[in-house]
Amino acid sequence: MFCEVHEASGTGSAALSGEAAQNHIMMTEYDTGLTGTVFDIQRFSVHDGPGIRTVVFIKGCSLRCIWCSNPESIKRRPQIGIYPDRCIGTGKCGECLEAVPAADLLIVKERKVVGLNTDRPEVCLPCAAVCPTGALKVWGEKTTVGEVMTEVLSDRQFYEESGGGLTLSGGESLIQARFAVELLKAAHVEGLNTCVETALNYDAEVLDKALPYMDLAYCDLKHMDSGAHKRFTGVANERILENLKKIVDSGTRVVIRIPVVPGHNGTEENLRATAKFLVDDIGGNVVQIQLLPFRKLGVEKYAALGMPYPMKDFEAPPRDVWERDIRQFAAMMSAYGLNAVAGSGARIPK
Amino acid sequence: MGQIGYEEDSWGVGVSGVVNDPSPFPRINRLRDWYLDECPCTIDAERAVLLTEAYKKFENEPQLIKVARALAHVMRNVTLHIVDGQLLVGDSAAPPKSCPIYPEFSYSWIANELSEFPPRERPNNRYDYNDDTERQLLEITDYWQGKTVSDSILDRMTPEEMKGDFMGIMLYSTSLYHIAGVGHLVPDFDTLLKNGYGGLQQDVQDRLNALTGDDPDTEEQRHFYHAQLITLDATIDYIRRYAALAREKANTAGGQRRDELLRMADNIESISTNPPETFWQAYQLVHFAWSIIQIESNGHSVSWGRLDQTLYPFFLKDLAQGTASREFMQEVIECHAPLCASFMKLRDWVTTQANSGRGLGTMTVTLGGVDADGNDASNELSGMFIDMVAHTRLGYPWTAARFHENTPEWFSAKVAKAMRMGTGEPKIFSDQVIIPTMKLRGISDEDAHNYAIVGCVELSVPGREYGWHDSAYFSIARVLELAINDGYAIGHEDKGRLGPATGNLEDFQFFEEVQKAYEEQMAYWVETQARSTDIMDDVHREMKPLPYLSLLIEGCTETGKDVNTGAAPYNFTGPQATGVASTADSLAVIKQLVFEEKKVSAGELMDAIKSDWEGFDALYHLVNSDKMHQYGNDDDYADELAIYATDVYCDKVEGRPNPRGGIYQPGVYTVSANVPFGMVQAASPDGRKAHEPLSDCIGPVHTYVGSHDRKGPTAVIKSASKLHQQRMSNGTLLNLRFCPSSLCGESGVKNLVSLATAYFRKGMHMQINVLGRELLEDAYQHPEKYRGLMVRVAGYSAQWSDLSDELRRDIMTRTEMSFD
Repeated sequence: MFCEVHEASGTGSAALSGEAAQNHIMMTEYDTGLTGTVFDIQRFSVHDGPGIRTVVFIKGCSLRCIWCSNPESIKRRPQIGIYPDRCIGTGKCGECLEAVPAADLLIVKERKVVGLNTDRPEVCLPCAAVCPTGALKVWGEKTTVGEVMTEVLSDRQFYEESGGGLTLSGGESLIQARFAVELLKAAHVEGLNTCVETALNYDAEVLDKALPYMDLAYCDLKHMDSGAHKRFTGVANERILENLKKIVDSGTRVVIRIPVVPGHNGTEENLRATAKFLVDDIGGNVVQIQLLPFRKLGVEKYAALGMPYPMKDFEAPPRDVWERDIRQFAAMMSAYGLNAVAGSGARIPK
Repeated sequence: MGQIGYEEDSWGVGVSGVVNDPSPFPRINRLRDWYLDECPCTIDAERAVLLTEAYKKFENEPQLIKVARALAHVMRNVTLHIVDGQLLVGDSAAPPKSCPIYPEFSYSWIANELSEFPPRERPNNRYDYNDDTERQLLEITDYWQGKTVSDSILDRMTPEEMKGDFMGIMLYSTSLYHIAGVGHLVPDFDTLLKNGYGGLQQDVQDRLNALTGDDPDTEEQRHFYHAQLITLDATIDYIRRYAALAREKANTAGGQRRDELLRMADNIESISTNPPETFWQAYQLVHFAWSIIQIESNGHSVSWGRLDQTLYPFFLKDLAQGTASREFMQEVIECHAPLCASFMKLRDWVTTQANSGRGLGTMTVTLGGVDADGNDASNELSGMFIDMVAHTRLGYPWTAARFHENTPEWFSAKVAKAMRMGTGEPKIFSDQVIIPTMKLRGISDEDAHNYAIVGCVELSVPGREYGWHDSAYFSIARVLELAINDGYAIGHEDKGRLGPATGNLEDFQFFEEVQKAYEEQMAYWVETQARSTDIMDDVHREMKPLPYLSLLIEGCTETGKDVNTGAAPYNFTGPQATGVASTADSLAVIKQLVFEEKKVSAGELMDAIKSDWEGFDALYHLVNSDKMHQYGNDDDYADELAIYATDVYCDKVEGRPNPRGGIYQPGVYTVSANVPFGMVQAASPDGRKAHEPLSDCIGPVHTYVGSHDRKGPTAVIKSASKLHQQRMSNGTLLNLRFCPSSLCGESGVKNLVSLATAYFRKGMHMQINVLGRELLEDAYQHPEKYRGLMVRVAGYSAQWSDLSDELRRDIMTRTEMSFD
């Protein structure tokens, strides 16, 4: 069971009370009061690690991939998305107008809320809190390790039956490093399996802290050419590749995930280079390489956030084409002696 | 068309029955095409005409003798059929895919529809018939006027019992047994397989001979045994007529079919009196036994019980002696699917709209589970029946798999692979929860371990229980409506106050007063419903004894009493609560908005629902939003109210005595009754508009503007697990829907099994729908393209193209439980 919080400890460190619990105190300690920002908790996820899992989406990212399908994950602070189509109009409702701290913060056109007139969206949180239709949607809630774990542990019986557990995703799941590590530790204390989805773009010390609590890592490799990597994601790839070596050297099981974007990183040249790197520099020590299709997802979220969609001119190939291409790429990479698969559904080898 | 194979890993995910040639046996694929394509569904007059002749001729005989002679007259004279290529025979006293008519139960609606809204002109579920059939059916109308079971029930009901029933505001509906037979049982096949009809006949004769005395009770027993002997004689003759027909057909058939027909004739001849020797004979005998129950009465959900146990000794013996190969026995099992599917039941147009479907209904085969000692009982045959599901995809016979803590992985995986095809079969049940629940109702340990599924959901002891499992549907959502509206039904104020005067929501100062009113209304309406049901029980006992069925239910022959008198060891009456989540979410809105947050006044909320939310847009969206506590999200606030709402119902129902010496037991599921019950109810506080369906079974609320469950299937399962299902001994059902991608691959199977196993710690029964949104949209637009698509409509399997528009829309608004 989840431990109770000792308010007096200030940091909110947790322990079982009573004498009998003393023996377990080392095993059961984690900082339930530590706070972080999460933009979604998705129960019953089955494509992000073994079994039935709960994915906790950590807000904030250090990359700016032009194909990102979770634009709401990029900024660390809470944001408000606006869906004018869902607004039933200020004539019939108007709850937000009553809750707004200053009248000019909401942009209303033809009696519908269409945008925010501020670069500090958090001041409009009270409006979202009263909106009955979901026209104003909040992404990013400041929460604690304890609150997140309460939600995660509600599906314990399903993890037990399926061998599942907690997966951290993002954004960059380790961008709020202390919070993320504490969640992983909490999961281990509670006996849950842990997976981390990460782009590896951070200092090596972050990895050092997380590694002891990581049962499986999903690591993104977006491009082997550092210049192209910088063009598509905003950062160079040297530190990412170093971290990948480090994580593999630690003995942690690693699955490589590559979003295959045609004409960007989805080229024979890049994928061969990736395979070669994995064989030559990593010793092929990854359990699987998943090639994921790129589809234009998240367009409506970009619009809700008032952000331009970077790939708007990109024409995604039809399903039969990308399915064929990805299968071919997987076969090509497998020829290097790697376990490359199409999509995220294949069983991860034990 | 989906690309599928015969082996379990290639059965496909979400392709349902939209496939060609799913069976490795060409014979089965031909029979499947015959069923799906070749002839239209029809109505047949022969049973009705023969039965009427007999009723006229034997009018002055005691009721037991009259009904026995009538059944015998039908069986001796009705035309028989053997479908080309079939290995099994036995019709419904009508041609395959044709509805026999049962005028003794109810007739005025048939006569009315024939004249006013002919079944051959229906927009869906249409039945063809020629003018001659129409004339024959109209000719007997006068004879049956005032003579049916339904007429007598109506005569005896007072206005008080009618006002809440389907002839009134339909707070509850007892319509099923009001207009038709009872069914909902598993016959004792084991004794029949052991002794044969000859053995049964000897037993009855011996008991008749042993009777002495001439007091009225003994005289009644004498009538009963006479009646049994009349039906047994007719049964043996009836079976022999099939043997003769097979020989006759063999004369004109060629090659292999000729030999097959001759073997069938020998088999049939032999089992007309003798116990069966082979698997094929045993299966044929079981089918005869079942089909004659259906000729005697049109009660549905007469189920097959645990055929993987019943037939296993014959399977082993055939293998050991080399009398049949596994492949041949598989073929026999698969032949049963099109045969079962071709049994049809004519329902009135209103019921058809609500239940949608032609099939006789829920003749379920139960597979797996534990034996009397608690050990796993699954065997090779259990797997072969699952193969049958995948190889036929016709929805018949229905299949149910029992899961327990030691269910072997091969079996649960195979079941999951069949489930993910998306035909709605098999449904799965939890031994862990069900066995203790049955024992709580006084069922012995051994019998509880041997339970089987009857109907969509219900649990029954094979051969030892007459459970009246589907006695009524009962809307607890409507009970709440009357509880906040001083006993008046919204929109029916002209009918006056219908329930006790428990006050208006505006009068209440505390939420507890709402609860008190709900409890008072519940007590009144449960009792009124039970009185209606008891009247039906009395009438069935007096007017429609079942001497043939009584041969196959323990206790009847032994005591010389008909099954309707309470001769079976176990006698229950099971009404089902409808609208659990609608009630829970309504209570949550009242509690949260009116009494706690005081955001809305009681008057405002009542105005909103009385005006169908017109002019209350913001409130309508608010109550449908995630700002409310709602059942299905693992939110204790709302889940506690769902527990409360169902506990009050169970409190009033459980233990009430019934006329057969048994008790009432509550069930909590809707099948598809949530649609018609929603159709007759005004808007409700949960955010439901007038006429919109109530919530399905024990699942969450889905309204036009959104589904109230937002956290996926694990949260729904957690919420449903909190209900006190161990009290709901007539059964519960949780429907979950998945999109195909979520169930693909090895991990999809494992996750589905894990989900079920986790639910089965506290939950009884789960079914799944597997459909992609894309497929569903297209299927909605073009139902004709999806002739083989089967959808589980809350415990009721039907073909997509036979579903009503309303029901199709209801399915489409359910959440897609995507894994992605």
